[in-house]
Amino acid sequence: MTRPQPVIGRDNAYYWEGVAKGAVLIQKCTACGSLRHPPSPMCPECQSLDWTTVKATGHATLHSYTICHHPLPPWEEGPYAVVLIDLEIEDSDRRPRIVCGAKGIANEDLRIEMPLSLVFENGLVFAGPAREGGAS
Amino acid sequence: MKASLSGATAIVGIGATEFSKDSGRSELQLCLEACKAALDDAGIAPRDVDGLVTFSMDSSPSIMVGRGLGVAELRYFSLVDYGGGAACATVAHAAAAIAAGLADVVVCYRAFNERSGRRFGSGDAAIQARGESPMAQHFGYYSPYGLITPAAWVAMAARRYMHKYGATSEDFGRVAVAARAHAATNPAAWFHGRPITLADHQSSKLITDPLRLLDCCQESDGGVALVVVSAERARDLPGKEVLITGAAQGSAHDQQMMTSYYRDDITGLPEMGTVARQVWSQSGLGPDDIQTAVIYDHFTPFVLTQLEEFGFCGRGEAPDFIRDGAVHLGGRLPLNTHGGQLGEAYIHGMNGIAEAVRQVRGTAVNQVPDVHNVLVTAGTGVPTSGLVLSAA
Repeated sequence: MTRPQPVIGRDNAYYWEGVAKGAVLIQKCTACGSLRHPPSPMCPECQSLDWTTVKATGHATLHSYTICHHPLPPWEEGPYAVVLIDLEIEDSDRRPRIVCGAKGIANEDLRIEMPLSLVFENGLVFAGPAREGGAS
Repeated sequence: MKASLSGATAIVGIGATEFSKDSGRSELQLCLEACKAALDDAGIAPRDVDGLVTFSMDSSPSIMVGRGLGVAELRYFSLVDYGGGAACATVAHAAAAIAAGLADVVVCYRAFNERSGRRFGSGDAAIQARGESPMAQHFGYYSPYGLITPAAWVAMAARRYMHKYGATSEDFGRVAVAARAHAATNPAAWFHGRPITLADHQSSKLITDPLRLLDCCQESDGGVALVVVSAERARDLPGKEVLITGAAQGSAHDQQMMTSYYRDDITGLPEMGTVARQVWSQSGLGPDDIQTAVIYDHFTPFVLTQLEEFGFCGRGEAPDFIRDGAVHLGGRLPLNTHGGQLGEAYIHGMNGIAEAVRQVRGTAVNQVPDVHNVLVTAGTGVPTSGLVLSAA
């Protein structure tokens, strides 16, 4: 069994297409400007169907995490971390959250509130050690 | 006078199969055995059933259950969504249907071979979710990263709870120790005769950090059914009345299926808060009026959160509330006196409702003295439900 691929539909294609190109895109309501994630066709704040996206800067902080030991999926070699991160968005004080994998950080070094940077690989996004200048 | 379901209906029958790891028979057969047992307990002939309610996840169609029971005509049948969050809601739907005159005798059921058949803990369901459906896309945000099991979905919230309130793995472990102490003296429990210590909990293997094996409920085969009728009809039946004085569902702002990670604060269960406000309002009761509770325990951390949502203690105070044996028999609030899903069996919360009925009847193996009102909750992390059951 190989790693599951993202499930892409009309409502969330922008997200996974962005990740495949090396960017986390967050839905932004054109009418009221609020941000939302996960994707939804309608703005929860004002019910507008019109939206655009903003690109996360690549800087993030760790909101929570778990280290999965059992069952170990066949595509993992040992206990692996899954993280919930707060994304920095330019010119916004909102910090939308996403779930992603971790890359380049030892499981035991994970600390809530630690700074992270986004890393993109094989159509997925991961949180890696913080570095200057945001995402590559 | 405000309109209310409170006290209008009663649970008059409970039935169950044995709880095992390999039932050796079909889920439909387990279901029918449980339904027949519940109707026998109520003293109601199976042909008199005219309503059936179950989980949308259940595999036994109401028409096949009705056929097996020899039901003359079904007038009400409904499915409740969102996994174990449906448990108490099946009773709420039954109560509402009876109060509205849509049915007279409603059986609520849940039966599965969850251990010998498809195991929820395998992660297969999340991995295999595909297609255009919104729920498949939902699971698809997590499955590529291996966040695929109920334990892992809960662990993410539990870790943040620990960070915010300074809770520890031992705080979670105390929930399991109490459940296994109660299971140890319940002959129907899988873990009958097998209590654990906090040291056992601490040395059990990590499943998905911070959750250890003994933080996780069992996987079980079995079935449970409950019979609901009007309070008026209940008075004419042989058994002691167990009135439904509170029955409610809840889903809250930005609700997700097991992954409500996008709210400002992920250390609460606001959907259970919605349930709590309703059942307290309906019943006119509060935490001090509850002698024992059945709090859904698929994973120990959310037992703590539920105690906070229902107001048994303040936010972040549940670790202190349970520290000195308060949730054991003889404590301030004995919890899950049948052993819970950690100790008795995982029947998606329905075995807990049966235990609440026994506590009100005074027939539980681990009976709490002078029980007037019991709180029961359903699955957490999902849209959920709750009940208050009371003596007449």
